[in-house]
Amino acid sequence: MTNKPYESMSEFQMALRTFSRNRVALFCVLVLFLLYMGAIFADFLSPYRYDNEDRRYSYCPPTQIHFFDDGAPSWPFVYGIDLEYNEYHKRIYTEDRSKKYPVKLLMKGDEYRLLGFIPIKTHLWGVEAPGRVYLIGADSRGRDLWSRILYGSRVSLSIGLIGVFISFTIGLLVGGISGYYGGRVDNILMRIAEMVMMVPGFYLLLALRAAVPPDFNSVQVYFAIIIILSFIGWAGLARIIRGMCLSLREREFVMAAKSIGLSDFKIIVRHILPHTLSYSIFAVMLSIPGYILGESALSLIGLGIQDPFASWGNMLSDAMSIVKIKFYPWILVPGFFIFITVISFNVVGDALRDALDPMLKSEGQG
Amino acid sequence: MLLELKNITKEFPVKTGIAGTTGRVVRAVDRVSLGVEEGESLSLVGESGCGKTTLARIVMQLIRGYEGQVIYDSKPVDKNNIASYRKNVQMVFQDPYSSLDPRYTIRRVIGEGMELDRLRFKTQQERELRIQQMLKSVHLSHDMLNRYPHEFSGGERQRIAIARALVLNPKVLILDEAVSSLDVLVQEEILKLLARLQKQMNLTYIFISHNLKVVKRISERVAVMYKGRIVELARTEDIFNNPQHQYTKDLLMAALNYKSVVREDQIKINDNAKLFEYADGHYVLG
Amino acid sequence: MKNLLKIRDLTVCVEHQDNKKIVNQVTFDVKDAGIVGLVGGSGSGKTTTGYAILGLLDPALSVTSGQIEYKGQDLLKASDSEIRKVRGGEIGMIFQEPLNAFNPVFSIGYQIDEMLQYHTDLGKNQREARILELLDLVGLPDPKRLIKNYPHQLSGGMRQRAMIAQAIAPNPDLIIADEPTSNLDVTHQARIIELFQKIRTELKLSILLITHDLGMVGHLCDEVAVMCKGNIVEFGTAEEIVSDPQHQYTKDLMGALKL
Repeated sequence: MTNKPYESMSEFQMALRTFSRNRVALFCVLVLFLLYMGAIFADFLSPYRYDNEDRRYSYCPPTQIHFFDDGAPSWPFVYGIDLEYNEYHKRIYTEDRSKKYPVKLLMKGDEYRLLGFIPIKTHLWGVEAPGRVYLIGADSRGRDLWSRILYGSRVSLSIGLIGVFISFTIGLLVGGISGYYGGRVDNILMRIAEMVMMVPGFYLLLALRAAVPPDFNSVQVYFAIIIILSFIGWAGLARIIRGMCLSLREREFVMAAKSIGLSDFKIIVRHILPHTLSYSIFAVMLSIPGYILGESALSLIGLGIQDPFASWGNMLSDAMSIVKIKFYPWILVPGFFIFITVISFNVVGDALRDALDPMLKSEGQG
Repeated sequence: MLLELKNITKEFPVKTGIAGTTGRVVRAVDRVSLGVEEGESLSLVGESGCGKTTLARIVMQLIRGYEGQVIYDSKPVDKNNIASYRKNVQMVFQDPYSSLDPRYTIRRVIGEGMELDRLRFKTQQERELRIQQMLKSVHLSHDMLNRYPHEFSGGERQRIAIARALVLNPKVLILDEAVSSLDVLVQEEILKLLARLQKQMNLTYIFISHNLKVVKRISERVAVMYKGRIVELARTEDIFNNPQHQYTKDLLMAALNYKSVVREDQIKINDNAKLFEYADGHYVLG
Repeated sequence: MKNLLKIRDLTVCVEHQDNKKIVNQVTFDVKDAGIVGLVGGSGSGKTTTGYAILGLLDPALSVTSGQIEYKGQDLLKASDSEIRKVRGGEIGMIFQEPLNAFNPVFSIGYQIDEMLQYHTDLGKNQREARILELLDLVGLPDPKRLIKNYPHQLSGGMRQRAMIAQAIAPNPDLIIADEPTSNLDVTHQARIIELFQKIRTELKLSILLITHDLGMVGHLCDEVAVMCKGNIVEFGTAEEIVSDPQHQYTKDLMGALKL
């Protein structure tokens, strides 16, 4: 009789343990967690709304938050901003030391709606008008980049998740049915998948976007983009799941399930697909960046989220000029956020695969 | 007769290359007729490729598209009564390492066996009680219920597989090489368990094996298969003491004396050959 | 009769866990042209013992004590290059599943040729002749066509014989056979056993047979070592072990599936 003193662990728990030994991956999980928290609490964490503009401060560089007042430590504050034009009609911003605006916590600012319906004005931090604090600088219309990045993260990060969820579901079902039944069903489904994969992704994206009626408002465009991205994304996953199911259906426990009388659908969902989960999770993690980049690409060329709504992609479209980048380098920061998001997903996905792989190996042994 | 096979034939198309079929067929099972009485133990013996596994799958209705009939309790099995058939005929598979879903706890593995008859065990308690009962009958303790298959040895897993098969109280158990991948001593234990369960639950066994020593231990009658056909069918002592068909003789020589018979060509089976009764209850193909 | 292989007090543990002994103080000899059977259930340590001889242990295991003396040399203390010469050239190995042991993308002929190239000085023509000779020796039909076949094209029994051909190609003195017939049918098993007897008599090589089948061992081997949980619980000639087992475990093994 086996009477082991330790607690029995499921495969999943064992994988979690291996995963948590990977420091870098844990760090990236933290990064992603912070990013998603930022997206959820964007209203609260940002001093301004995404469309709060002030053209007097167009391309204002980041305002410095001072912690020392004439050498003595003080509560953080900013100075006023003064605008001058130099001989080339270029804007020069300097600090106006005559006006001091302390950083305030939990102050009242632009109104927003908590949970979508509760009107609230409290922001975590900010500076009282007429002072402006631009943590990372301002864009062409004087809108705070930091605030817009936080609001923009909502679009970029959620499209990744929702889009992937949809194509994941489609891919699993199609792959599962295809692999389990084989024969003609398999043939037809896989040829469809291949046709979808055949068209160059970006062009398909543009074509589908062009098919969307031009009078859709931004929210509708948002959902249309998600659906479009999912539509081209499911095929790759379906093919691989199908391959796994083809071999899984020969396993004895599948036959045992059949002989117990389980219906085909139950067998696929309860026995076969769970075994593809380890691969699926990692494939999903690695494809989320694709969706983020896809949305960014669309918004960059103006076909995605439109102004005044923020998305990291359309913020970057502002940066498509070398002159602006030279003089106002902070407009590239959204790109940096895309970068760390994508890297974090990749690292976490890789670590997940490593954590789940030994499970796949030891599954067959005894 | 509790379970009867009438003239079962199963052909598979021979495939060549990538996608072509030659039009030729392979007869994995060729006009097999067999019957088992209630409470009996029948063994199906043969080497790999003889068709015994295919036949077992046909009996379990895991393979369809065959000719002939499977008759249970005087009624032929078809789409209408397959659900009740499955309640009465269950299978224990060869490989204890892959016949249990590694992601399922033991409780779930055994509990799944109840899937066919939800009405019989309605409440959670009834189900749990039944699962524990089954575990007890295969001599495993119920603190194993929350554990996973990979934590158990081959012999223990096979007991779990047996518990799963018996949970709805079937009449017939088909054991497809059920002890072949186990150690000799563990085989002994499992065979003893099976013998006891047979007495307790009045089970009928169809034992499929290539191991003649195991077969001699557990069966009352033996059917020898070769190239899809039954070449000899008799009581166990007759097969071992007085084999008639050449293939049976070769098999026994190899298994018991480790002597191989060198043949230039394989044993030929006349296509028209039929089983004729050589002696009382002893049938030979000729 | 000289002793070809002398194993003394071999102990193998899980790395860094000296209390988990997979093989414990194992001692026995393999004589010249003798067949020794190493019998036990799973977990008995018999496979580990066999692998330890050629230094093929799982990286998680380590030899903590003992000597394996082969032709005057302690294999456990041999350098990597020395062991490599011994492996294959002087001590060959046959595995349970030929499909795993053969490389699926190369033909049988190619792989046996590789063996000859590495361990002998024969020229191309000589090697070709030798390969055909070997395939004939192990009883494979139509050798000329077979050398072009790939492992998956042969049946299980034929593959196993091809593996034996590959193992005896460089004329080793000892063959370690790890469960060579477990995956085979009864008739093929009998043929392999007869082949073992043939190569012992004709080529005068020794065989260390690792198996759980006490019946086969009783039939084929000169001497038998019965292992249980890492220890040798009984050692003797085949007749002694089969007709008059002393240790309880051996008695259990003999009693199980007695005819």
